[in-house]
Amino acid sequence: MFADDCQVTELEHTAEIGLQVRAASAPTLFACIAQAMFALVGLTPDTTAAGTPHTVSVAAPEVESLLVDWLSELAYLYEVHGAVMQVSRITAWSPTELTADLVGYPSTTVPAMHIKAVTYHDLRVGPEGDGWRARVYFDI
Amino acid sequence: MIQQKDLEQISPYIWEIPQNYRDDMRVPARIFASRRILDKALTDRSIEQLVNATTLPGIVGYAIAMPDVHQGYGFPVGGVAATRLPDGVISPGAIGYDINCGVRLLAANLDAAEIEPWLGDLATALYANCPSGVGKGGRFRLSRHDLAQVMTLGAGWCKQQGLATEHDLLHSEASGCIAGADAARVSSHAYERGADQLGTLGAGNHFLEIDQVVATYDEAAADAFGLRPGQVVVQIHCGSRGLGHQVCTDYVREFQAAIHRYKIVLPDRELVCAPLDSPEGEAYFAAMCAAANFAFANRQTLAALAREAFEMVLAPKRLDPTLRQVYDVAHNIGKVETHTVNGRTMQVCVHRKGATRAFGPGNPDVPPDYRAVGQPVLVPGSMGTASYVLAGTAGAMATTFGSTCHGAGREMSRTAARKQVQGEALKQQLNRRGIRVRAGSMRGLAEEAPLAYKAVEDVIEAVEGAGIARAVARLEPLAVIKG
Repeated sequence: MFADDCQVTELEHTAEIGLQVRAASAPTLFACIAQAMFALVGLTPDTTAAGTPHTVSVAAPEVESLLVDWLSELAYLYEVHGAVMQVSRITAWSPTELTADLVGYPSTTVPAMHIKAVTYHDLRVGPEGDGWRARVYFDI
Repeated sequence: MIQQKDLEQISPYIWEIPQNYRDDMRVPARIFASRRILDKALTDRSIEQLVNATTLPGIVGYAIAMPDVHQGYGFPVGGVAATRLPDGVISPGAIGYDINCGVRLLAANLDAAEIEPWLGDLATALYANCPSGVGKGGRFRLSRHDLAQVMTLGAGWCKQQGLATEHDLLHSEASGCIAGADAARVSSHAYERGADQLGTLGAGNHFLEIDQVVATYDEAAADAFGLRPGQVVVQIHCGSRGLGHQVCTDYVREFQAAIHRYKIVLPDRELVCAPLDSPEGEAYFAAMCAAANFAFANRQTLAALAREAFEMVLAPKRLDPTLRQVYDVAHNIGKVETHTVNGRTMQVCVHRKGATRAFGPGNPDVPPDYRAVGQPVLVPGSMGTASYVLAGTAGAMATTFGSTCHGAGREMSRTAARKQVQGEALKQQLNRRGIRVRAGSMRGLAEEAPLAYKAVEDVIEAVEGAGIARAVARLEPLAVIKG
């Protein structure tokens, strides 16, 4: 539901890999980058399967750590439950708090990469022009 | 951007960036590299990240880059930094997310020609027996209590379960268990990620390989390590899996606040750290040791599964399936060690991120049967290319806190590699060279293509030239197992 609302660019790095995402609003940006992270590593949610609902809440002292915590939680949920999380709704967002309703689906594809961690390397999150932009690198 | 003119050449393979290059440097930076490798390193942010590492409070000697250096996040991969005890800092980012990623080498009593007819069967059995790939769980699902035991005892836990021998433990760095681990410092998320991951390879650059020894260069060391030309050996490259990744994630996050409490100013958030004698530093060190012990146990379990696969395939053919452990060594770790710095012997925390311990002859931490020749150093090349067994040297003890390189080192991004190589075509190309490949993801295979890495021979030339290791044996692949 968010894919049409954002621009996603894969960022090169010698050993790792990154994403730059632009969206009209901060909540949309956070939803988009979650979907982009799963797509980046080659995971495709099987939305024809019965999904498992989840709610995720994260809190952080500033918006960059909020993004790291948000994506780290989704990577953790994939590793533990094998579920590719799709954001149904961001129910609350501020620069220091986020709550989202998610549905976890199995993947129809074998992932090519493993996200070991979401890093603070060259991390940027903030308003840009009339929208929001984020840049984040993953340890692969 | 740092340029060649900013460096001083100390010797043919050692370069220095003086401490006055930047106001916030606490020590100089040293790069162990040939001119060709150095020129390449100057094209990305490797050396800038090395200079950033010199700002860590309590760092002593130099921040050091190995010849396989490439840019990482915060701290370069192929980097070494030692901080003094008790008030120097410990930095999770200078150890890496894959805590105790490392390599284990097992040696068979067979020659390559003897197993050639069964090589495909061996590759298939290893692929089936040693789970690989993203999210692949293993044969064992551990309770919280058992996981805590693994994190406390390391490979020793495997011995209790019949998965290790005393010989295996004696021929591992730190005997496969680092003192100081406290599993209570590890989060619930980490426990959950690790619950089914013991005995799994994971993905990325991790692999299991059947190789043959194609040359030996130092007969005394090769004899001590039990290696001879033609011999079949097995390499296992992996680490602490999701459990270790989560430990690093948790403490990088926690230390974002700690640096403000301790008034530490850093040029990169990924370098966050805390004093070793602070509650935060002590907690991370204990959790990091616990994750390192999980990694030792993981490689030990994989070794047991590889032995099982060899037994299944070779025993019915009346071939000896024995796989004797040569050594197991970490290349992402923080260790408390004693070194001499500027003429003073002191305890330091040596951060090795993409760098291997390389203790020289006579060191009491080297197993007695290897002590005369130095510690084995295991240096995997890129997939389908040669790997090397080296020996630690007195030169490494004197100049690099007993450290040397860890691999070939990437020089091309995954994105660029994928544009130039098709996974299936690469697999066919390796097959034509007689290398059996078993891999779960063709895209993952393409991203690990040899062209994405430096030539391992150039790295070995530099470490030998700088005197921080010496070549013992060259290995070439017969079969590759990847996630």
